[in-house]
Amino acid sequence: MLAVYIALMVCTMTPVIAMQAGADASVLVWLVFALVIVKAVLLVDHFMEMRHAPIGWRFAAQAWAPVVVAVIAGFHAVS
Amino acid sequence: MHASAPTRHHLPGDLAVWFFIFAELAVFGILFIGFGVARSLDPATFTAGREVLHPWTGLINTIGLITASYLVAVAVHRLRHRQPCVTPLLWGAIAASSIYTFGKLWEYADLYGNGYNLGTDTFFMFYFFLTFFHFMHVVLGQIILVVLAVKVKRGDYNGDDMNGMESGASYWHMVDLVWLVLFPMLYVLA
Repeated sequence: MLAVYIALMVCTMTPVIAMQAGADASVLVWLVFALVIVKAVLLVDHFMEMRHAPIGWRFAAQAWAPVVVAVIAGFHAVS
Repeated sequence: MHASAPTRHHLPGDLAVWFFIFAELAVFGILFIGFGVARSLDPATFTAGREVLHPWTGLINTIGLITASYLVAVAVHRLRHRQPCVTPLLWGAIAASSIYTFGKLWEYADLYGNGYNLGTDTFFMFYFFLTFFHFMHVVLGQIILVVLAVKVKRGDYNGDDMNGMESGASYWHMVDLVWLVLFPMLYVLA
């Protein structure tokens, strides 16, 4: 559980530090999208304990963030 | 009866709570997609609005919420295995999440003090609406954590009956999950 917590912290801080360091915005955006999905899956599986849930419930809980991020990323790409 | 670890095909908490959680996630999801559509129509306004925000405040708020989620997850694990210190962990989670509530209130006061409000532009309409809607969920989650801490202290949950504890914890993690998308969307991507 502690390893998941540390991973979540690293995934949270990375884009903000990269932004402050002046990272290229186009790269940063896709890094953020990827890290949000990683964080959401970690949280759902380990903190919510959905890895022990029936597969349908687990899939539904895990799918929320990727679906939302994919739609936002799609609009972001065309703007 | 011996307390056991969650086995395969165990949905943590009450089924009704999960319907509620998915309804909440659907609402937040639609609002987030609305934000994405609005941003694609006027990216300059959203970029200008994002530059006014304090990314470090957002980061500290996120650290507070993730820490709270971690402490709640550990508390559930310890209660299931009849280990001590469950109540202090829950109070610790409430304290960690208070970093978020005070940070958000400070940010609202700062923005209002500088003339930003719901009517400033499309970005701030979304910013204030989304963050305050989420803020109310955090406050409700904190109230639930207080109730759980009191009930654990009273011995209402003993490791065999985990339904109430798991339901409250699942709601809290949902609040955290929503923030994990909301934070970068407002503070980094906009």
